[in-house]
Amino acid sequence: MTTRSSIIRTRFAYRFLRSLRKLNQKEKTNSRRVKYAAYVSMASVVGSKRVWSRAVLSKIRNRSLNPNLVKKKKKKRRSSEESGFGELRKIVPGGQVMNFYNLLDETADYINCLTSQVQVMKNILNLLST
Amino acid sequence: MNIALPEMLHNNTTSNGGNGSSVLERQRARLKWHQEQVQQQEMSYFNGQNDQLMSSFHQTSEAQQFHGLINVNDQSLNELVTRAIKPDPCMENNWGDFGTTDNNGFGYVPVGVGHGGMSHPTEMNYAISRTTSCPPTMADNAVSAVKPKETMRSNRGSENFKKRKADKNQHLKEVAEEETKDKKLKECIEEGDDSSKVTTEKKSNKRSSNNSTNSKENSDTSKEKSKITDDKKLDYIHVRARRGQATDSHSLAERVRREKISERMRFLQDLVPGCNKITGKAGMLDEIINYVQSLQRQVEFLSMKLAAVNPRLDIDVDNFFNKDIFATSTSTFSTVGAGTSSEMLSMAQRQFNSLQQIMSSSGLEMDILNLNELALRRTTSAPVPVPEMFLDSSSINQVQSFQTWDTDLDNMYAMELQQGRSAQFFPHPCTGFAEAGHDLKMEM
Repeated sequence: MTTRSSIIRTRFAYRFLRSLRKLNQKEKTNSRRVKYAAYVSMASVVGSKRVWSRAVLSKIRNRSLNPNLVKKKKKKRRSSEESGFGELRKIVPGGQVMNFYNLLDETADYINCLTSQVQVMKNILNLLST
Repeated sequence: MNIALPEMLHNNTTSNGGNGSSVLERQRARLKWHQEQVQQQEMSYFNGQNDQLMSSFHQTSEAQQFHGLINVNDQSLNELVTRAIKPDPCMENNWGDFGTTDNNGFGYVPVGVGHGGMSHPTEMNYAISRTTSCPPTMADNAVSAVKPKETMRSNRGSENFKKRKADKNQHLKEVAEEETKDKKLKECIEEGDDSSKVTTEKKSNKRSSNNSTNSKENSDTSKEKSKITDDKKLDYIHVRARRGQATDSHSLAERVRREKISERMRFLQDLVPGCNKITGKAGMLDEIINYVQSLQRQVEFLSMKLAAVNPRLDIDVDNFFNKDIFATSTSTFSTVGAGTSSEMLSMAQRQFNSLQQIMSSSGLEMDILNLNELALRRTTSAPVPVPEMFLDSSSINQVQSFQTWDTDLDNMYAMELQQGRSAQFFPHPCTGFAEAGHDLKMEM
């Protein structure tokens, strides 16, 4: 699986740098936007085959379209089977609507992607700060 | 009924004793095959990604590329073929077809290899399902009732189950005697089967398959059979209850679910560092949650830092891109001839090279891939002049990037690359230099 993670890293780095440049050209750089850029580029690299990436993308798009609607939205209370599961559901994007097996699957993929994301971002930061 | 019993016995013995291990082997082989397939696809995907710039060239040189690919990957391909053939003889035919099909059929070559291979797992699945359904009634029953994953199927299974229950009530008195015999038989088989974990049928299905001599059931199973041949792509989950375990469909399904979950948990355990020592699902979940949260926080923190650095980013990125310009612009594009397309290509290449630098700072697995790929492309697209130029330039460019990289080595290396990759790092530049030097000689 080294090949997959390396592919993800390259594409993520490419997209992220591009979006950073775009942000910089518009001079709208703040930490929130950078974070969203990171998440969006990660999710779009992973594509629509994963639930979490779809959830991230739709969340951010909705938020950018109409920010007022999302705040008013009530969170669906789902009876969590155990204490840990509900927590995990909250953390993994899109986890509210999955069964437990899929949730674990998505969590594994999400962790993989997050680790590669963190590594790439660290490297970019190192390169830029030196 | 009495006629059915010896048949049953025969089926049981064959399926458990004879076919059991072979089924396992096949499944293993299939798994391996899948893995190989995935890797190949990823490789090819990667190729494709790099080749996006050069796809126009490659379309002309597909055939050569395929041959080159065969030549270069000869060992691995042979290994693949042998591995595929060994477990299942029916693969041989497929591979024969695969080998003899014309090169045009593969289209875009690296992808084509992956794509052409994709049909095999399904066919293998077909073969497997056929073999498992060789004992006609039993396997069908097992298949129909065991699959809890799909709602359609499980509905069917439960329907059948009900029908069978009704049948059983009808034949209860007749069956009672049979059942005792059957139980003994089952126990014998299970004794033998407990050691090997090959699980193909369910107890209750065995029992119900006794009833399958009546015509209704037969028609039902024939319908099912047609259904099965329809969706033969699915691979089935085989469950078998051990002695003393509940055998009704709900608890079996529950057991399957629990097994799947624990398998996932084990996988997650490998992913999350420091999770190996913790036992128990709750502790593991807590650990996983903490890890994910820490990762998210790290992303947040890094994005904050990046936002602080970002005003400098534009210049830096430009510098970053400019590092690689001179090699490209001087060597290749003067010879190829300056045009808008070549400029675009150079832009793309520059960007790619910068990405390469980032990647080489992060992963270093990339370098192996790149070098391999360069070697591959060099061998494959030798007849076509234009890609060669491009390739050589890229290899020169790589040398350049390595040189610049060496200057940056002290700070970067100290920062990020100490986690065991230091050993990996030095060989690759060396090989890169060697290859590129070779190339340069070739060029002169």
